[in-house]
Amino acid sequence: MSQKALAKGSTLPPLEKGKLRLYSMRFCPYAQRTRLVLEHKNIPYETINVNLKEKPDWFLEKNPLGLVPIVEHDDKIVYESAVCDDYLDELFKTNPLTPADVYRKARERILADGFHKVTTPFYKVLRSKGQDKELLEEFYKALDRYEKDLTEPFFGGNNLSMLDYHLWPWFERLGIMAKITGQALPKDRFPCLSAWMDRMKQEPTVRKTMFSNEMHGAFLSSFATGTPDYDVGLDANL
Amino acid sequence: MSEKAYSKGSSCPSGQGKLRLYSMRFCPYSERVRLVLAHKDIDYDTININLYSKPEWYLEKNERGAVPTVEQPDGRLVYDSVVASEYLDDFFMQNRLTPDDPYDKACGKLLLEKFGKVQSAQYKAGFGSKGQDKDAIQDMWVALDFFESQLKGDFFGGNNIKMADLMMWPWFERLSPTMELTNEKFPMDRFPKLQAWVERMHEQPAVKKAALDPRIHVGYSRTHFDGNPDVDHGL
Repeated sequence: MSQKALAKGSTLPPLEKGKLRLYSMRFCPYAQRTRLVLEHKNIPYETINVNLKEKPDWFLEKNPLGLVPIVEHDDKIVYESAVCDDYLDELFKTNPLTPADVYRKARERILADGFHKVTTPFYKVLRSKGQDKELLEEFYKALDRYEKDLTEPFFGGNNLSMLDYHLWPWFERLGIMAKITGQALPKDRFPCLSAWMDRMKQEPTVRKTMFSNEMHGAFLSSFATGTPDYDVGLDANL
Repeated sequence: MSEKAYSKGSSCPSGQGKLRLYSMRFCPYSERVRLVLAHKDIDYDTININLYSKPEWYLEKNERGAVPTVEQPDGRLVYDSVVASEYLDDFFMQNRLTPDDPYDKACGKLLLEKFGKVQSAQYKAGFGSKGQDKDAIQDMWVALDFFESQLKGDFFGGNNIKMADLMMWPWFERLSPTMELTNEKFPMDRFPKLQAWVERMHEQPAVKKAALDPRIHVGYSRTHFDGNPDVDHGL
């Protein structure tokens, strides 16, 4: 199936019975969470990338919120990345990502729910083109909490869990943030997070879904022009 | 144990070896957890927090300074309302509220996501505008249209009450007080199924235990509109 993003006016390819489909966008960090979960659990799936600027009508019928990711199979539709990810983890028993201990599960949810405090300044920094030092400090301050809570190799403990995947996509984009701000994530302030990032980059699932700083940069630049190039990096003959 | 709220300068009451809920009597989010505790017959102590003059010690329980927070006798802490509700449902196995089927569970969560529009419209109509914002009332009816259409069985959970029913209940409890405060009427013809569900919910033991009389809600809201919220109103 082509990876090119489908836009308004496009025809939706039919979904075969029994098959699982992910509606996504290659550079969307929220959709990346769900891709990581699908890969981790070896769930067979097909992807339809969607042009989020020129949304197809069929897309809005699936999710009136008009957002990715969406998981669809056998007339069942689930959206919102956290809901999709829990759904997939409950439906498919391989390589479980939710902690068996209910207290640990709750504490990880608290960290996941609180992560908007990191993503909000993250986007503010990118939008300011890295010029505002106060915004960068706001972002680092929000990260302090996660540095403090990371007392084990992964947020999930000795092995990674749902929470590691929920946080990862924004950490993957710290490389391009460093290029924009001229400042890499200070290792002395964030030793645990820095080591965790190196560990995550070795994970096969992360390597499979990851984009390079150059690709992230190319997409972000196109986004800043007002005409995002959702297909950036795809071969012309796909 | 007294229901009076703890304020700035107070000391944290010592534990009684029971599960503890940090709450505020009029907070709809806290009520969610009270409903779950009631539904599952869990024994617990309540510590009400004055959200307008927070005790310093409370920030050690919940760094967001928000209610509700659930504390186990051994000091384990869980917040906010949805995480605490799910944790209690996982920890205490009786009278299960989470649907067994993963798709039903996901649908319940998505229903709650959509419910945000009802919550924000109700807030705008009441506390947000001291009962003056008529457009917010209309927005609330429009948001409720979706829930009217989604109600297929006796409950949002189907034949039996489930997490989604309890998570949404506090805002339905506050509908009649909101009508009184804004001088509006609930359009019963527009929401026959929701009206029937509300009546069914009023019969639920959990709701009977955890709900507050509409007049007390109105009284509290008036203290809030006057700029002097009395979290102990009615005690």
